Amino acid sequence: MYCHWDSLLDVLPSRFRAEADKQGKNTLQEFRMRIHKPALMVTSKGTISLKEIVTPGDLNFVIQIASRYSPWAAATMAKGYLTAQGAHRIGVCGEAVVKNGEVTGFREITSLCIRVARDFPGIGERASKLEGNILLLGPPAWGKTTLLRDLLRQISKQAGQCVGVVDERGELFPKANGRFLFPLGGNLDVVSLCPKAEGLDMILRTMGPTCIGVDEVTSAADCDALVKAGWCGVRLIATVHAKSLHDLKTRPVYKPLIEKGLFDWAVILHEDKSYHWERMKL
Amino acid sequence: MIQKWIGAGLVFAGCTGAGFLKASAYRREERLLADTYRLLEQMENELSFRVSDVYTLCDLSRNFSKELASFYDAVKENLLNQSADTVSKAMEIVCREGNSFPQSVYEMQFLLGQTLGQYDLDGQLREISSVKEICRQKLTALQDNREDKLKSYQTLGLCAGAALALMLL
Repeated sequence: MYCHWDSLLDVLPSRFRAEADKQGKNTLQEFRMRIHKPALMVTSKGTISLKEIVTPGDLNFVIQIASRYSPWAAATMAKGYLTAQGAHRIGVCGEAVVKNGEVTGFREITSLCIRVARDFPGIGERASKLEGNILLLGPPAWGKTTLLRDLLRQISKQAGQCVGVVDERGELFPKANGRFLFPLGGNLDVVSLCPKAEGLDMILRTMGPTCIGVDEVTSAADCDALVKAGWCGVRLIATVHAKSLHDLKTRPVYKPLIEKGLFDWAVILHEDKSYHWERMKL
Repeated sequence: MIQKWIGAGLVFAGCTGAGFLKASAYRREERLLADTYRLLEQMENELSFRVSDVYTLCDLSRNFSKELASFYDAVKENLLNQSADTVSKAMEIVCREGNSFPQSVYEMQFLLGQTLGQYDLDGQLREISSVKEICRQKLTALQDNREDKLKSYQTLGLCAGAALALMLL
């Protein structure tokens, strides 16, 4: 298992570090901070409330460190998250700044949810034997990104495969100091921090992929981009938020994917991080 | 008598040296301001093109004088080891710990530090641009007066040295 634990500890205010470190990278799943409330640690054994109260300074500290003191470089803040070094995703809540009807940032931050990013090489091996387009389904924090990362890695090791990855959030194959933090696998190219539509187009036109992976298809624009990229002779592998195939089919946003029969297989994740697959029917 | 001549010689050399030192300090200030101006220009370009972070902006200083590079390396170090939670505090710490910049150069770093890491891309670019303009004005003033000032410092040193030496003799 790979986890950039030091990067996670770096992001936390110093008075919380010892408690987080005590839990360790195998146990800690989330570190939650809410203004004027005790910090919470969500672990595999349950939720632990710390004695220390979170101050506005603590929240600002986390944002400063995670954005490398560069608010302009953390453009994803407008979407409510930013990715710290080591691919740890930080969800942000607070008072939004809206310009021309669009959120451009946060004036005041009131809550943060820091999710520990882990990599488990090998977990995608079973699913990598499936042929055709694959959609990974699971609720938040059930391991979709972790499975997708390894699935893409396993496919990239297969003979004749060339995998392209559109890593919009910089979580699948994060980089630091010019190096990828998690093992890349075989024949795999990554376009990071790029919107899915542009990234898919870029990879399709220029990198000659046999398979393309994208994380978190959440909007109509993402679905349109996938539909456009479909049937180009390239396999698509993507993740969506849904607990079951039934949930997926009832969500209007995913209607184009279902109606057009873009995906052949749905890999459904379970809370214990195991998974099974079902054929997707038209 | 020999002692008098030696003393006069030392006084003359001392005064002349002081004059030349003042002139070289003037040249150093001009060089550092010119470097700061070019650094600000590079920061602007780097930000507009790559939207790089503060650490990368600090690293750009390595393209210029050693003094500027070591200043920004120290700022970056303070941010990395989290001894300051904002860029301006990190710059304050470095200045307090013994920075020997001339006043005008220090002012430029201070002005930049006050804004770096505070705004979105457009705001940051505007702030850098306004610091750059102040820097340009200061640099132009130094360059315009360079010949007169350098000549006067050197002449003053020589004359004062000669006068004192004559008085001693």
